[in-house]
Amino acid sequence: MIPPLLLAPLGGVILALLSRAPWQAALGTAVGATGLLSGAVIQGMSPRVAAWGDLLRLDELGSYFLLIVAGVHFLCSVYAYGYFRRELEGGHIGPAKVRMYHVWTNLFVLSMVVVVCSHHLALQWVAVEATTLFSAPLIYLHGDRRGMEAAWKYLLICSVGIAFAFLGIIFLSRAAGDVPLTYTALPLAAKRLDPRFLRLAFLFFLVGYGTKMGLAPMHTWLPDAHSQAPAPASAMLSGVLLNCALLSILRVAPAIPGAYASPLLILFGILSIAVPALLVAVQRDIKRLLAFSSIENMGIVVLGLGFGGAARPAALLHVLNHSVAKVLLFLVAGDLILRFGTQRIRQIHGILRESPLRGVLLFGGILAITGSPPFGAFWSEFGILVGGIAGGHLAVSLAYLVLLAILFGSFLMYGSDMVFGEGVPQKLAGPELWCLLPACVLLLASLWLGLHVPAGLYKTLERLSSMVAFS
Amino acid sequence: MNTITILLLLLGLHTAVTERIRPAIRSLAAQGILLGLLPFLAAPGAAWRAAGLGLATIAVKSVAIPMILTRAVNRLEIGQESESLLSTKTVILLIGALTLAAFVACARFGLSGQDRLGAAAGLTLLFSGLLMMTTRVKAVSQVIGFVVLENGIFLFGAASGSEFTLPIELGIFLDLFVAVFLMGILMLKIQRTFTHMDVRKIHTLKD
Repeated sequence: MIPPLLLAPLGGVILALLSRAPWQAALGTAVGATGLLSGAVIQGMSPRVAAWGDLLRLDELGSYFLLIVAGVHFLCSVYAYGYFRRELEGGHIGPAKVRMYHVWTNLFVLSMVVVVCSHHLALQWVAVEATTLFSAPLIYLHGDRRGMEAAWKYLLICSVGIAFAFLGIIFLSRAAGDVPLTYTALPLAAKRLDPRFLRLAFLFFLVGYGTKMGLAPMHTWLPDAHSQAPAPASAMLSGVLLNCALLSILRVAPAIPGAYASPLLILFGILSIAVPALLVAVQRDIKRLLAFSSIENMGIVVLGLGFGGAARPAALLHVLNHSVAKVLLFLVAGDLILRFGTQRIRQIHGILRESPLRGVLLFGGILAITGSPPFGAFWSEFGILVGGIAGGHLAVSLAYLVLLAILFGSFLMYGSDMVFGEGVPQKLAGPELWCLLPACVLLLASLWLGLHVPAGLYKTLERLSSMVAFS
Repeated sequence: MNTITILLLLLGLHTAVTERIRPAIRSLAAQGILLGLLPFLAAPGAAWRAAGLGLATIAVKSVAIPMILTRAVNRLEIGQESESLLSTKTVILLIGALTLAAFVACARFGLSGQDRLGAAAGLTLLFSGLLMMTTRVKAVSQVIGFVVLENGIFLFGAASGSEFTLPIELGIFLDLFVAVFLMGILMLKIQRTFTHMDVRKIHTLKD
């Protein structure tokens, strides 16, 4: 089942390269995305583990992450058609660049599919580095100086981060000796491996892939990169690429002693929530605001994994909830930026009066990302809190609660400024169906995850969380 | 093997300390050839594998990457001097201290003989590359620092005896090549829009 999953985005690349008009390239991406999504769903429903050679293997955990990648890619491919049509009409971008967007996006998705399907940890490293390389051109797609500055930082900082993760792989192979570096073989042999090298390996994995995940204090490139890419690319960078880096850390977790790993995860987690909590209040750019929220949410996930116990399935659920809400917000923000002609928060206001649907989408998205009921993230953030208290981490749990409250307040303030308030000088154009439809789907998904978490999903998360438990 | 390691260490330190860009690039190319010889010496039995890896190393590290960098230097018409935020004296002192720390760390981890030398030299190159990336002002020097860092990791990996199947090894080379290639393209684009290559002056994005 793995070859079709790789062929779908590859087909998207070829179709985009062959296309003569932007709409043809968009269609090519949509066809590839539909193929990938159907493949991911079929694989997700089948109880069998898919394997292709020794290097590629898709188990249930990989399937969970693949479904998020495929779903987000599908919705973004629909959105990208409408988004670039508006950009072309406005003369912000040329047809050649739109085609390049589709080529690089499909390559980017291909590398993410390899990340989630990697059995061998070194192959996974190669694929994670490839995600950086294929997504960097998306960041400077418009070719302006801010985009280039962001892409330069992104390439350099993430490449160095990934180089540290490679040191981790070297330590791991030193510890493993003859044991193959696959995520199935390592945990079985964990007891026999040299614990000093295992600890070093995990530290370098956490710092290296943590850079790619945007964990503080290695997060400095993230707000720049995520704010400069075109909206559908920002959505993919924030919504699914960060998850892929997380998966790379999760794959090595079962071989690492929990007594060593948990405090590290809690430290990086709480730091990644605290930095955005302090910086969100002074943001002026709507996409930078969303980027800081991604750092925060990755922090929440890592904190939950550090708490362990009941917080672990909640952390995995939060991965899904964050992706849904963050992609929703980036898609709505992209549409608003096109309408208002600016990314500055203060110049965007009175949305509800002019365009109720957009107002509901933006405000709903902000409530969803801050973990308010009745949206999905409420349950996952609550689950992590409960897990933290049950695990005896009282002080950290309290800090977590206070920081979340600060972030909630800041986001609500920005949200109400943009959504309510006086009307705008320029009239908002009618809703662009292709842009708003994917956002509506995501808002409903977040609501559904909040009102009714399917029993099957809970059982699955319990199983997955036993797969990522420390030894 | 020891001779190669020591030569690599000296070349790497030269790259990290020198203030001139072209000699730094030449010294990078020389490092590439030495790294390409390592697989032959490490595993005399597997000749085909060693030949493939050695050739890939030389092709990427001592032909392709120096070519990209030289081209960038020519096109950008940047001066010979590569400004640093630190004085040469400070850099030498810092690198000396880091070298010492690397040897002590490797000794404490119970590595011995050849392994210890290789691992410590690798770590030293890694630190020097990182230092170059953080203290050099010109973008080209930052990329050179990145390649020195990668060379350090390569040497460290060879000394620790980590090896992977051929597709993965080739994937690693391809990644490195594409990374430097993209950095080269970005350097030219940045030059065109900013009309300068001073990283200190590009900071429009901030909080």
